[in-house]
Amino acid sequence: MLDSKLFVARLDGPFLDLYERWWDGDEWIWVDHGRPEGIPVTGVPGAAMLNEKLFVVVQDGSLWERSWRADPGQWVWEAHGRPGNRGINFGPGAAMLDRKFFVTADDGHLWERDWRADLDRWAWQDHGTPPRSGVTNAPGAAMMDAKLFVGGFDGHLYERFWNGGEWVWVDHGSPQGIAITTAPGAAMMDAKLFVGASNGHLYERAWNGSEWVWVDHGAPPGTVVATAPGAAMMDAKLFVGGFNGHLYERFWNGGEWVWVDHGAPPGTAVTTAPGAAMMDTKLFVGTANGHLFERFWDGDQWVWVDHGTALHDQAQHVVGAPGPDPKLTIAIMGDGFAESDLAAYDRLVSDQALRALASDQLGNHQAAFRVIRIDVVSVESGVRERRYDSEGHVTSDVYRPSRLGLIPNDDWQRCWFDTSDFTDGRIEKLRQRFAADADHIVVLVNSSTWGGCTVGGTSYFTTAGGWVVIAHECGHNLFELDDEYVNDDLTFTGVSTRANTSEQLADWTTLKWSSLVQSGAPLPTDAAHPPAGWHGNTSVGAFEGAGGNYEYGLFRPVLECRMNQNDPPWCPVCARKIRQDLAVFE
Amino acid sequence: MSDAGRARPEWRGDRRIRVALEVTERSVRPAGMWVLQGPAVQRPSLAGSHVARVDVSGVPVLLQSFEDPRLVRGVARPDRAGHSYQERASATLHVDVPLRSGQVVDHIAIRIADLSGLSERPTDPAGIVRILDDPAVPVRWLPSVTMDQLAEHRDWEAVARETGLRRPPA
Repeated sequence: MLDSKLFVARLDGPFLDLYERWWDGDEWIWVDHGRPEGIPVTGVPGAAMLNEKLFVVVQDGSLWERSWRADPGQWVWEAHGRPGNRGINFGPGAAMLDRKFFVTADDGHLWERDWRADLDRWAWQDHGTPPRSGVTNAPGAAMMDAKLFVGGFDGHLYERFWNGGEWVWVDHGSPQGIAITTAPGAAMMDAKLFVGASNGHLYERAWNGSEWVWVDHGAPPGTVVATAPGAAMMDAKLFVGGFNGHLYERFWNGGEWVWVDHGAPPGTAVTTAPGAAMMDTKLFVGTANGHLFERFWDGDQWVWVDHGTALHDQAQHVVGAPGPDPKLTIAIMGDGFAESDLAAYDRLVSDQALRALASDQLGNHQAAFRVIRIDVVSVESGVRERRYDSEGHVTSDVYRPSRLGLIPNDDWQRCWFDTSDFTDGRIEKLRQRFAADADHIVVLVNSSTWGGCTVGGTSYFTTAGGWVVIAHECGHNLFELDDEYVNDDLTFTGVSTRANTSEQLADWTTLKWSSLVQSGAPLPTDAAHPPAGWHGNTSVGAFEGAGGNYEYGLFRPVLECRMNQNDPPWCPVCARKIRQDLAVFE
Repeated sequence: MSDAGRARPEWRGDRRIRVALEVTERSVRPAGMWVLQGPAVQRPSLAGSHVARVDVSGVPVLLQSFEDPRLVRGVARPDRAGHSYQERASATLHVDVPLRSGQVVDHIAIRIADLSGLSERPTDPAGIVRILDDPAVPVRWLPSVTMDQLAEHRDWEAVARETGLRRPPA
């Protein structure tokens, strides 16, 4: 539809649903249309009409319509039932006039589903079976809104034709007595169509101006035809899947028909008939690994584009619940997690992000949080990885098409990550779609390269650092806490605005955390010689050296804190700030 | 500070427009906006280097603090303490504009103040409003975002429909 969407059925896995693959203007995304009344979808969707409706068969053999209703502004299901109370085996297909199409029932009858304007409703019409035969595949190759073709039990090709007064069957026989084995497809110029036959050849059935003739196109080089033909383009080419898993193009080059081997999609094999041709430059196939692949002419060459498995992005609240009450709201999303990685992603969210958000004193304040886990499904497992040398030249760049385009670079001075042009936009899109109220975003990146980086309210982390790194960054990002380590020899001047660091004071009784200072502790406190019985994490004093860079003039409350060495729990001063900040959300 | 909230003194309004702002060194422009149900929250302590001040109908209703939105901070290396810092040309910042049901809004202003140059400043909201209103305090302001600018954004129509806000007369 509209050269920007197609529909497929997911026939295994957790969601036996109808799926839309939609170009949203930025990327292709999967949209889950669900299943009607909870009945799993079992057939291939077809008979798209008016860019707003299509039809699909479900497990009980009945037909359902999925259509866009402008009035409520949503897609709706409508039941079309079963023809003659028979289950549907093949179709829908051979749509005509935006008001009729055909299916094959389990008794081999061809049925028409037709919008009857005179009755103001859809109606079934039984076209029966071809003489002494039955229909054995999906109806297709509709022409002139008056004819369609099917394969028969006897291996013949049959035409069902409206002669102006009635529908009639026309037996086209079989090519050279060889049974046809695939559904007819790739109709062109209202005068030809193609089928696969039991000898693995592709055959054309063409009207030469005076009679129908069979044309043997042979088999693709080195293999045989394994799928129905489809994806006709420009009345001069069509595509089929080969038994070797390759996609083959049959192309009229102006002088003769030639085979073009498009090869197999990377790491897998073509298993479905090519379809959903768009703009004469792209088509789609299903593959052995359950992915949808696009074959696309980019202007210079044909390329494969992996659309992954049919699985939609989803979100769920993992802490708190949706609602208007104010909460400190955090959205967690993943990059580089394919469908097969989602269980691992779920564990990672729990083991790293949620553990960080429930660490230490935060565990007592979970009611202040709302955390939304967004399952962003990437096509492939992993992310692009890039490396630089000391002079900033790229030394390696291994591409993977992750959804958010985050690129670990293993370079501290480059914030551990490069980003793609689309990274910010996609994160923002996901925020608005799934977690519009998120105050902060945490992205977990499927890479074992070390790394974590914060940009505004968004932080990216690889899997390498673990939850303590995330917890330390939460101290900065959620509670505006200062670093309590020192890594340079600068002298601080001015007044610290941070709750957990203090400038040099003339009067230490005014210290912002004076109420928490250990009884009898000298201020400032000598880190090299703390009082007897001093506890590194919970005994509070004022130790010089903090803020990352300030060895002098800036003081920290304790020797050990999550804002210092990552691992220890937050100190009493940080804990107080956390409590104060979260109180407004509890 | 006005207190539009009812349930808690720190709550502001009963719904809010979340405005995404694209911030560069010298510019601020709306990049998107949407309506959220529920009040905005006035945090008690505002320690970040930058503060966004939101005025509705001429009254300051919310302050949000954050670090320089263009600042990029890397985590420490596995074997050595210390963040790395870089600066991006632009970044996105989210600011809430609290609204009360039935409120007539004729003006919205979002202004971002860079307080990093102040050697000493308060962190409580009232204290920050005082220094922001004091022309003697050398605050570096980024350009304001007004209701007119919000109304020119493509998201405004949906926001106006949901909130009943009307674009101010020219």
